[in-house]
Amino acid sequence: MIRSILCSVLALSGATTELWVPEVSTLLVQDDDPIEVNIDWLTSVDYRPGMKLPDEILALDGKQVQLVGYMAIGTLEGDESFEFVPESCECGRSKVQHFIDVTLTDDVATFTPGRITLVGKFSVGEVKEDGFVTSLYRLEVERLP
Amino acid sequence: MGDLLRLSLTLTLVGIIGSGLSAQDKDADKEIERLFTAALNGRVVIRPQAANRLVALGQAGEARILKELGEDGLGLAAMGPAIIEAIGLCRSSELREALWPALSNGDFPWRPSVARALAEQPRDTETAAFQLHLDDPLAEVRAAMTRGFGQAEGSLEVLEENLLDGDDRVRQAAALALLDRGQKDVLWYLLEELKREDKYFERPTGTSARITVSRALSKRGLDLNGYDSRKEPTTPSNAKAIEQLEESLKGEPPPMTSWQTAGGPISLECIGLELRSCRAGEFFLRWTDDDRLLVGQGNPAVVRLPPGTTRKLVRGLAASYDGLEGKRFFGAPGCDLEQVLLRRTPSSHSEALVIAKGPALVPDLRPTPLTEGYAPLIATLPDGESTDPRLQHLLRRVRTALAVLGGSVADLRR
Repeated sequence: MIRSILCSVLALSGATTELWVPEVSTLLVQDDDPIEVNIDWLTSVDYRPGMKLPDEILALDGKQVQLVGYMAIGTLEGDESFEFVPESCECGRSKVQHFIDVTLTDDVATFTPGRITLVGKFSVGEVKEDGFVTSLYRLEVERLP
Repeated sequence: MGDLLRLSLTLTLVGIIGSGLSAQDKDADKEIERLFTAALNGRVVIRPQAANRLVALGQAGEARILKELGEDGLGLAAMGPAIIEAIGLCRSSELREALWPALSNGDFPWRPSVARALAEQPRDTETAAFQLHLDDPLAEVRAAMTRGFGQAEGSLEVLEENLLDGDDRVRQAAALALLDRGQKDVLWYLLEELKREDKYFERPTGTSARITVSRALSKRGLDLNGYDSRKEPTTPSNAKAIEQLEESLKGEPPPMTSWQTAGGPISLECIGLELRSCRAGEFFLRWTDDDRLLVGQGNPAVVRLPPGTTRKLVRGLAASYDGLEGKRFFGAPGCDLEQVLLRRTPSSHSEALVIAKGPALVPDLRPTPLTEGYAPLIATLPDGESTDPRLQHLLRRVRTALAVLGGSVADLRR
């Protein structure tokens, strides 16, 4: 929001020089503004189970976050959760750091093959089942766009 | 009497220890079986973890994989990519030796995984074997073979030739392998990757490349002067960082081909056809409203088409889309993928359609309206010799890929 206000003010002021507007995450962000997070950056981190993630990623825990990516092929119609990935192909990326586990709180999944934007509460950390890490990143979203 | 008592006690003790060891062995066998089953059939996300833990057990874990491999090595394909990639971490020569024939078999379904496994811990004796696969049809295989070849002390001249590959992943692998061998001048090529702004329709392919390369350089201890791969390279801080990196390199940049230089934004994309075959390679084709055929990602090859070609193609493909009654996904998840993107007008958002499958052939997977819609698209592809590797015999390579993906497409040129 702050970014769009800044852009509008500059447009009204008649500023004609090319101006670099920083990413939302580098501005003072209001509580209700989601932090734009790059899904490629998030999912290409070097990770092994048990390893500490970079502080910049850990700091996103509990925050409202905006991510742009693809529903994983294989998303089941009617499920309340799905994997969110940076590319629609599997491309040999099947490890736990390669996706965001999305839970829909007020909707069910319908597979959409195109690129979509999701906003929700993000959480980071290992979730384990039978001794295996089954998710590293999670996003709680009300409904699909 | 005392001797008899001692003997009895000794026998009892031996029995207890024996049964204890046997229980331990049973527990270990049970754990090996649990890990093997999880690596083979567990949830996709746990398979690599289970496979890595299995091989971390050492000889016992490796023996379980060997048992499944069979004497003829035919069990390898059935074990799937997670176990195959974990074999790259094994000490067993027998397991490693089973990987090379699989890589040479063009029909083996998990060749990129085999290549990554082999490149994980290359052996000096394998330099020639790595070199043999540097011109593989799959870019993922070429990239892994380049890494392995570089680490196995392969020739610098051969690695330099790979800087000319048509795929950015292979060029990056070659440049990083040369950098690791002390060839600082290759940073000029990697800086081009840090300058990329290209997109494939809405997908920010340039950003992905910037993130991959900047991570690889930071991992090697290179100070990027505050460069942030998530921001566009033209932002003041990134532009300054790149300038400082260029100044730190001595001499002039080497001459580069168009595809080695950074790609900028692309406008007017109307149709996209992305083909990813686990046997026949990958193709990224786009048709723009101003009648250009773009081939590849990054800085794509450009083929001029007769005026009005794209608009006609858009009308035809839109009719194919409309014939599918709103269905936009066909098949099941797997390593083979066809993704079509359509913008009915240059300013509209792209409508995506995906066809996917595993390595097995699936007859009639692609719906007929779409197969019919592909034919005029494919008819615009050049098929001659080219100095640009992305255009070399393009049509015949695309036709081969289509045949193993959703099925053959009619040749309108005949």
